[in-house]
Amino acid sequence: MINLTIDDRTVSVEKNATILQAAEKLNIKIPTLCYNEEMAPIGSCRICVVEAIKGGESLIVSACNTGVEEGMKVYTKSEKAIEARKFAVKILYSENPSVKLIRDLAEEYGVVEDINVRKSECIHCERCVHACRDVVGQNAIVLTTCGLSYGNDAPSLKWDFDKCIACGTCAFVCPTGAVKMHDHDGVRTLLTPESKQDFTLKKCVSCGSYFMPEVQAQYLMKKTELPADKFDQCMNCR
Amino acid sequence: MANAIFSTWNNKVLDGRYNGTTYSAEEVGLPLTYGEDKEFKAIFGWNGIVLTDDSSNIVSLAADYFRTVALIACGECNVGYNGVHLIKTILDNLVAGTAVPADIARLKECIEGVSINTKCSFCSSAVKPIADCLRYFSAEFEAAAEEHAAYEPSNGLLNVTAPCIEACPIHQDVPGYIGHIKNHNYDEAINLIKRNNPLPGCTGRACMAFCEKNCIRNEIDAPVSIRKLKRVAYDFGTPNELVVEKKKKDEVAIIGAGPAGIAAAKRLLSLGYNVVAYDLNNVCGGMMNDGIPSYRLPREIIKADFDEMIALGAEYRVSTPVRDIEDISSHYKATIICTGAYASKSNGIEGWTEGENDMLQGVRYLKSINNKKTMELKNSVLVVGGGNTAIDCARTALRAGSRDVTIIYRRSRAEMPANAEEIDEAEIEGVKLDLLALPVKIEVEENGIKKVTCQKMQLGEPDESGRRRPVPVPGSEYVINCDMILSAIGEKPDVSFLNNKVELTDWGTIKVDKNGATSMKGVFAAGDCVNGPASIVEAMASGKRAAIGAVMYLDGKTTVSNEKEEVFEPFHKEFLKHNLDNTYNYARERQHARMIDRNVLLDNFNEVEQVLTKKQAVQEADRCLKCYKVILVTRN
Ligand SMILES: Cc1cc2nc3c(=O)[nH]c(=O)nc-3n(C[C@H](O)[C@H](O)[C@H](O)COP(=O)(O)OP(=O)(O)OC[C@H]3O[C@@H](n4cnc5c(N)ncnc54)[C@H](O)[C@@H]3O)c2cc1C
Ligand code: SF4
Ligand code: SF4
Ligand code: SF4
Ligand code: FES
Repeated sequence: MINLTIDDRTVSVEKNATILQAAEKLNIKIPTLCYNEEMAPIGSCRICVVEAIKGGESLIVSACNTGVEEGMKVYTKSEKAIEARKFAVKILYSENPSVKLIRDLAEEYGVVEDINVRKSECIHCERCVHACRDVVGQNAIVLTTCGLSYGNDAPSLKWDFDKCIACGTCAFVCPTGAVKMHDHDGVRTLLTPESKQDFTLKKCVSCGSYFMPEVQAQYLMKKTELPADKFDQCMNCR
Repeated sequence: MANAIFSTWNNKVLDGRYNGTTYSAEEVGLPLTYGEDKEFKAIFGWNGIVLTDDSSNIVSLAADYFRTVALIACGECNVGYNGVHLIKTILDNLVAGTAVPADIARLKECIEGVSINTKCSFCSSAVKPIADCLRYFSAEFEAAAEEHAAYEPSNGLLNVTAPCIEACPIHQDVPGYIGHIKNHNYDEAINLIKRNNPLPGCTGRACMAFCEKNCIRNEIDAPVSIRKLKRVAYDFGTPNELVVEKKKKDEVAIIGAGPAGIAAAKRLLSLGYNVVAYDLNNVCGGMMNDGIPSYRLPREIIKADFDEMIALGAEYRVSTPVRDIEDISSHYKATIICTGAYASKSNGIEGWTEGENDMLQGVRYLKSINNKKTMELKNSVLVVGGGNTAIDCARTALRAGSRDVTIIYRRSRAEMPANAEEIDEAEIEGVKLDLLALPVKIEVEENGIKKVTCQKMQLGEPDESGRRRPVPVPGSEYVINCDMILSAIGEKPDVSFLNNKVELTDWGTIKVDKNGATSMKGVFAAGDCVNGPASIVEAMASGKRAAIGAVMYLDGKTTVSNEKEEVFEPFHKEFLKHNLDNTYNYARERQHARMIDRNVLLDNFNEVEQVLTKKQAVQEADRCLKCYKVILVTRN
């Protein structure tokens, strides 16, 4: 076990725990955005930052993906931590003022100024990318980043609809609502920040209700090696 | 000699702007001149600002520097990307004369925010000189925000590098292609690699990876598996077809179709020259084909890399030994010698009969097996030496059917020049190590068995190479019996075909100047025949240099064509350094490739190391901290 203090309260946690997990144990709340407990931490939103003192040195670190260390002193509400977090909120707010979650954070941290022009709901937190890759296993979302030789002006997300099985996980994990999914008239529509895709839904042969996208049935068929007729009925009629 | 009037380099503040003090290069900790005493005017880089006079416009320098920073900021974290772009916009407005006074406070806020809270270390460290600007040049910045006057650009020269890029002899954009892999963009990754590497397949499998030795993660946990990621890009990516300009210029001859030869060929082809390469072997690849065993580097990988050069228009005349340099040099305006290091150093063992009684130089043994010559099977094999050649001989002998294979080396394991991973692999496969021992005498018995008298050694004082010198332990002789002895104690160039017409160094390598030119007019040399036995990637770097030398010679130029190289050469040491700044970097496990099962009989030469899975590759790529260093210099 590793012993550390958070806001001057002592806690001991497992060796591989993160600062965020240690704080949870003490019921100390650290705001997060890109973090999702079902997935490995991403570290992209920079909202969860805290001040950590180790070996006399004060550092600003992201709580979600920084491991605990023996004797570490963590401050979640020190002036330095709040300033760093406030800047992260401010910059998110200026990019994505339309997102309710971010407006709430901005209000909490007293951010009012709106300083930039690029507006979108997607904050490039990468939750969807990681969820589709690590949870669904389809790897259908590619984050295109910038780089010296990359020729991109801004990061963007591209959906590969040859791989997508229309499961909706990405829409479910998206913290801002930039990815949306809804079913209507036998069709499932996936709205991403840059594209729109329709998937045909399968009709149950017994009750006639739509129950599963065609692509997903095919995917399951292949994966389970069950005959096609096993996928003709919905859960209720099976 | 230039002196600085101001410096913040490496957090050491020297300010003589108001009192006339000047500071030497030593005091600043950075070179202030380049080439033959040419002076820098301003140095504006990731680690600070240095000025040698007061004529620079600091705002223009900042804006020009930062435009490149903004190109690199990847977009994987909110504060880094958005913060950097806000800073860039403000700096651009300042030089365009469109900024407002409030922008200065905003700039300050952004710099503070970015410098402490980013996902990787790039953006947070790249804002450092801008922070210095606001601290020491606030008057200039405030004036720029008030005057609304457009500023002249700095006309500086920019360089982008990283500790790994700088350590790589051919300067591969390591964080660049790793970034592509992280985004599953294997095609772009391999395209980027191929820009300055004509052997992407071979280096992905067998490169000595100097980059990894200087990866900043060595200070945190373990280096990023850069070589294995290169292989990921090669195995999973489909590169664009290479195209070169239509040929119009002279034909250049290359002797030797190894890594140095292919790199020279590619550079020449891309500059519009025709290339004819001669090799005594019937296949291309040089020592990669003759020395490196196929379980480490499958032959189809070598072939693919060379086929691409043939498709580009290089002509390879194989099975054509060159017996006298003038047979070639008299027919071409320029010739590049890339004949490698094929001769072996003598081992000084009493009773050694090279090529007879199953006593053989290691590289000759490897060359025979690698080229599928049948050899009589010997059960017990003793390999003398501690380098990669010794390891390759031992592991090859096992695969050829020998069951009792021992490496004998005169120092301890820690001093073995072979790559530590390779030594482990050999042991896993069943090779025995007899350390701190030296064979001194061989006697051949009637039945062909060799009785090898060995001497136990102990480590004494360090020698010139820094390794502790082995000294004999008196009265410790013992005898080993074996069927075959391979000597792998080092190679040197075979220069017999030069017939004393080209000057050599004291070490028996070909003597060249910095452009690769030998003492013979129009004849250049590169690779192991110049460096002594080295590596694939060093041979490529040297081949490229010689190709440029040859082109300069053909064009009648004497000055270095690569100005950028000359200007940034003095910063090499600074580029190699690890600046692990304010970002806290947590340990993350290095990914290991799957190896084939070695618990079964090793009776084949199948590739041992498998490619990382895509999932592993993403995790490994995620360990890279993007240690790009951007620097802008202006000159007098
Ligand atoms: C056993 C062994 C294992 C090695 N493993 C590695 C490794 O894992 N990674 C690594 O980076 N490096 C390794 N090296 C080193 C690497 O192979 C060499 O440094 C590299 O190949 C040198 O390239 P080069 O172009 O200078 O010469 P070479 O590759 O040696 O090529 C020279 C070519 O010139 C030809 N030639 C010579 N004389 C004549 C002549 N008179 N006429 C016509 N042709 C001629 C030869 O046939 C040969 O094809 C290894 C070397 C050995 C011996
Ligand atoms: S809907 Fe498609 S893109 Fe979204 S998580 Fe599922 S498979 Fe991935
Ligand atoms: S380069 Fe590093 S700090 Fe900059 S945006 Fe990307 S992840 Fe963030
Ligand atoms: S962490 Fe990445 S950029 Fe930094 S030295 Fe290692 S490979 Fe290069
Ligand atoms: S929650 Fe930790 S960086 Fe986003």
